[in-house]
Amino acid sequence: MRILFNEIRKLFSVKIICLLLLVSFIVYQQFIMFEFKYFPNGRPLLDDFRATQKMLVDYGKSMDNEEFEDFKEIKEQRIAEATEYLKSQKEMVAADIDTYEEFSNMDLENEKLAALHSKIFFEDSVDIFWEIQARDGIIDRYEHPERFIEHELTPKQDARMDELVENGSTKAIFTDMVFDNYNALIKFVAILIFLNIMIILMPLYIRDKRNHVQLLQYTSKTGRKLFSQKLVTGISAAMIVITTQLAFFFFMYKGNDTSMFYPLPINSIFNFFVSWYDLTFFQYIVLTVICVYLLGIALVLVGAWISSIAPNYMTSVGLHVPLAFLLFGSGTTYLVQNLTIIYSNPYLAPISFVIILVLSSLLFMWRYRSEKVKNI
Amino acid sequence: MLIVEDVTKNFGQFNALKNINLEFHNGVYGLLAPNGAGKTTLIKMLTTLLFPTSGSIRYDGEDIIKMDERYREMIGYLPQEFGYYKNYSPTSYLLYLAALKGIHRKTAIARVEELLKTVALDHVANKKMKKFSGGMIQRVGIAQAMLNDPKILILDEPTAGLDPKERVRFRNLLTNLARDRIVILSTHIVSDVESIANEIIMIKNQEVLYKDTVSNICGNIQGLVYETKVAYDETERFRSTYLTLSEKQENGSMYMRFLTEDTAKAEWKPVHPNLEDVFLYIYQDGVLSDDQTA
Repeated sequence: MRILFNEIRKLFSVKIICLLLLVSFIVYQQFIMFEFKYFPNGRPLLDDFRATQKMLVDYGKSMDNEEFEDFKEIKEQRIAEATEYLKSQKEMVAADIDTYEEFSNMDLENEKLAALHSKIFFEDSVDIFWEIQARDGIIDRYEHPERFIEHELTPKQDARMDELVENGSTKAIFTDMVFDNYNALIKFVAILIFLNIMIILMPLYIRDKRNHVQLLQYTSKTGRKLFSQKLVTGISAAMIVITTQLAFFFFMYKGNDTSMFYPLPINSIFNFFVSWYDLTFFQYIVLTVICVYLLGIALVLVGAWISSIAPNYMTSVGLHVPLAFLLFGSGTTYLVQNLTIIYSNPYLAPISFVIILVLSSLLFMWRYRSEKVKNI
Repeated sequence: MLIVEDVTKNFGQFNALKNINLEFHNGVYGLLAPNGAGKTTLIKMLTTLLFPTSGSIRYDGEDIIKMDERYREMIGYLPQEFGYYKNYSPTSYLLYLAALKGIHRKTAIARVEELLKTVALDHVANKKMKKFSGGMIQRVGIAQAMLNDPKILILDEPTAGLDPKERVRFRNLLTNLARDRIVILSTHIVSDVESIANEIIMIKNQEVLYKDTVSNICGNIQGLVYETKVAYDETERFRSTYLTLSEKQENGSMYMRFLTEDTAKAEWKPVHPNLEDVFLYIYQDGVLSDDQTA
């Protein structure tokens, strides 16, 4: 344990910690904070979000036909309230716009009317008008489940779609706004985590080789076993980085106030993402977290291999470039972001993970075996 | 007892050492050869950093490679290029190495304190090593080699960077240590080993040329070493005729110490050969022969 602790301490030097903080700050500022700061992003998405939250409170996990009628009834009430509001506005009455129907059919080519329309929505930001729009969108999607019914996919995908219609997914309440937001966030967080792991693992073996400390390490009692112990160090360091980054991310994510969506199935008429499996949003989150850990471990194996063969930091950076290209692009897109999506083969992710982990393990094992008999 | 038996080491087509046979008991062994002669290769094989191409190295009858950590926990090693972390203090670095050597933390703390006093670094025990001089770094290296109180202490060019006072202190330290352990000291500086080594090992043409006491080795050129006074304008001719071992100017003349197998002349004063004379004779006789042939 002392060796492990010492090696971890070496990896988390003050310089490296500062670098990790700087990189994390930049990535958060450039890519992640936007999804926190502007969630829901403008209107009527904010109103859509509020309406969905109210649906959940009023109807639970799904909305049957009777509840849908109630939802439409609320919309009618809002229309009545909007009409009342319009009647109370002198300029609207003067322009002969004193019902919501007239308001929604206004000729926006007419500059004067367009200005009045804009005033209601953007200057006065009257919530009722936004809410009606949002409710219209929800009603439209609920009434048009064609995406689930009329589709031209493979027989297996068709069967899954039919299964979803049968098990009531077309009535399930969820929102792609929450799902897309999480998916965008987890991709950037995964990229940040992998970047952190690359930074922290780069000196794993190079540092000792460059400082000629390896001669002392390999002639100590621990000897060449240190090579494999350093891998344990790398995995431990990666676990620390992943856990810390995810803990901070979920702490920030709490601010998006989406906890009420956690127990909901992600397969819903209100979510464009269709999964092969009946997952709740929480289960999907857990799945992405597991995948980040698995990819993190694979990255440690490859990163450790690079660190052990690269003679200097420049070579190591060079070898990390194609790895980063793969991981930050396709890696996060298919193995973190779009997990279980129906448009990909259901075995893509599990098979990819098995292949990645086996290959990276073999790569490291091969290096370890050669290190044991290498002339130093 | 440490035995090197018929050890050969090749690096591809290059033969670094061939058929090396050595036996080490408690005491100081000076491994003396010019740079590039294969000292470090031999040292690295003794520390399991290199594996012999053929032959074996055995400690108390057991192959050191098979002994694995049981062997390594008995050795202390100071490499030619002593590696360290610049931002570590001697204390933290020695504690790090102590952990690798499997020394219990409490024992290690006391041992590190004691060793830093021994190598006169206790006043900078917690200072970062990045500001240390070469001599101070070398002393940290010596301390780390002794951390586990090794039965076999292997030191590759240990006095590099040490000032004369530190060298003397180091030699005394080794003499004390060698009473109950094997100390192998590799160097190309003759004075490092001449006074303290029980035996000197000299390597030439990838093979062990001598493994004997200083007096026996010096005896090989007994009666061949002389000193004489040479006029300044004669020095060049003298140098090309004889193997000069040292020169010094005194009272307007040149005093030459030289080696020759020729019959002694009256003005030549025979002197006792020392190890440096042997070293120069062995490793420069090729040059001498060439010159004489010319």
